[in-house]
Amino acid sequence: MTSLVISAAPIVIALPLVAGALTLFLRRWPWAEGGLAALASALAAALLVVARDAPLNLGLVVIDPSAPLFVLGRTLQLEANTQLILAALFAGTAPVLAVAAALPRQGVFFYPLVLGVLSAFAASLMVRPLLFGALAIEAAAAFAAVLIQADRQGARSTQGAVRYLVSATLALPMFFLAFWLAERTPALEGDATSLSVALLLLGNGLLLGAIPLYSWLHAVAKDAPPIVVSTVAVVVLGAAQAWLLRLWDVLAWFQSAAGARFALLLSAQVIWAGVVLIAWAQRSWARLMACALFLEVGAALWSAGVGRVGAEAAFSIAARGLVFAALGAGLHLLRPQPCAEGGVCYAREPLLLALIGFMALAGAPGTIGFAVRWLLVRASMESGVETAGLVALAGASLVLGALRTALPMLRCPAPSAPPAKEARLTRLLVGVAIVLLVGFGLLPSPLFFGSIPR
Amino acid sequence: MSELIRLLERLSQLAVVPLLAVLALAVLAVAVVHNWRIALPAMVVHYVAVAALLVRVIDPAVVLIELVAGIVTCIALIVASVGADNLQRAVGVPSAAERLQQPNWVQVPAQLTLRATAAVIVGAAMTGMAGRFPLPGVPLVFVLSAYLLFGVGLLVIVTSFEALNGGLGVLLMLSAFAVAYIPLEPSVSVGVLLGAITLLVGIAVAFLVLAEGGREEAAHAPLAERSESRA
Repeated sequence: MTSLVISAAPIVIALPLVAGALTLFLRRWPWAEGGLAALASALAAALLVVARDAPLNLGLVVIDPSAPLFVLGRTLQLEANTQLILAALFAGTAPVLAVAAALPRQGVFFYPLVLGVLSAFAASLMVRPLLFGALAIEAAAAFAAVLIQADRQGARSTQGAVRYLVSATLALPMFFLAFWLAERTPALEGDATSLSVALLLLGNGLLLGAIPLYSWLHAVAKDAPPIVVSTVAVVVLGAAQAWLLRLWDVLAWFQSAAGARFALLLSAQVIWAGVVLIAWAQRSWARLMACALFLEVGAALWSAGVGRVGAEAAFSIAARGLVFAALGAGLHLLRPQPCAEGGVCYAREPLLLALIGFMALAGAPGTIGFAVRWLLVRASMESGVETAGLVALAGASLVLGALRTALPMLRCPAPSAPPAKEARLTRLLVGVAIVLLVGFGLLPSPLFFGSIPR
Repeated sequence: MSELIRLLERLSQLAVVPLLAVLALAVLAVAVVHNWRIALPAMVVHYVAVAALLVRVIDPAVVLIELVAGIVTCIALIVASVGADNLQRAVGVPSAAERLQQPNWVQVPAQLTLRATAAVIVGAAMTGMAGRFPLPGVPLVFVLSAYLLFGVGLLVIVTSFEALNGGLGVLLMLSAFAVAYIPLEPSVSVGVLLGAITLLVGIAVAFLVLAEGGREEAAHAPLAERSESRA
């Protein structure tokens, strides 16, 4: 009996959507809700990894990621590099969702929204023509805006969400014009190439929040709860990075334009220089989170500029999930508590978790961040040692800022004991996070999904 | 349904200039008056004008989907705005109707003049751009409408910080995209997809409008801000 060959594309798009719908029925049990969401994300990642080299044979059904699916005249198909990066995106989201399950709920529809955003972004990374990918990003942005809002109320509570929605919408005509120009003039030359490349860079800059004066990153970091910021860092930034890498991978004229590479590398350097100058002076976790996001945006631009569109980029996205899950949990649990001697005190464990998160993000040796930064530095050495120094300085500036913010919180003696359940949960999260961050730091190979770069 | 389609077809038989004039006036109202009681009906008029334009190049049934999506979006925004108004009235902020009945004569003339001047400048610039940088393959009337919608959408976004006006700017830009792209690919799937995206964005904006209208609660304030103020 012959097996039925089906494309992996609809499964990867539908799995998060179905899980998102199911979480609505589990709202009474936050652990089950978060667990199901994390499981769906992990399953999608596993499917993409297992079926990477050969179609997955399930007896009656064979799931083939390279098999195209035609829907209303559009094609849904996974390219090899995109499949790896999409797997990393799902794998990176799973720990954030798992951690979120242990924390107070972030908005009524947090899990369905995260899964909806993932599904729409997954569609954007598979669909052809590329313009329809940009439209899928716009749909994802609508979900993401509500996710960023996270049920907060008040006059300025929507600033980050509106900014992100506007940025994603502004990017749409840029992509439209760039793709349309490329389609009309197959052999792009001269002005047409420059214009198309500039439009693509602008569009991606808007999606990544890398455009000065109208970036959505700091507004989101300032207003949204920490675990939501972490989710945005992993899902939204990760997907924007994946989109940029996909364009870089499939558009030969974009890749071969000398100006594009230069602009990407220069933008990354400028962003890192900004982090070096600004991060150390911050004494607010929200602003430090914004600096952390900018550090990652710089890394995303750099990885495209140096052509790291495969395993290395996937590794950085998956690792970002672990680091931001720890960071988000630490900052989320860092609640001011009444001190026995009067005033306000902070528990030590979440503070420790936040500091370790920032150190991992900065690339401290022994943590997973070190492997990520090492790959980045290695790629940078080819174009000069200055960039490697700049990345290291940006990380150091971030850690210095975190230490300056943490020190005043350590001045008072430990606060009166929190409720036993909360204390146990905090210690468990800290323990698991340290084990994972250090464990994958020492043995990072599983996060390369079997494609360790030479 | 067939009556509506026939109506759209009749509208599309109007001369181009009156259609463009209606579209320009509607988007001008959205740009100048930041009060939902005027801006949202103007948005409905803009969706009708856009549908009347699109019906020239695409199946009227598909345009109807676009139009219905736009109108449903406006209804969702009206419901959200009424809800936000009620929430704000409870804390002493005048509602949209009260602001229309008793305008603040100190601020309103300056704001209206500034926005109207900016809208006229943007309109003139966009008209010039439509002639200077046409989109090959797209009829001039569509190019002009797309540029106008995009420019005014951008203007609405930069002159406001509220979720509703920001959202209206986003919806105008989506309309601009539809007007520019549908003549290039007049297919059912494109029309349906754009309609669905308009609806999704509209619902997201309605959610944000309601959230913005609510009272800020200390318990919901982000932790980082609290720690910042106490550290």
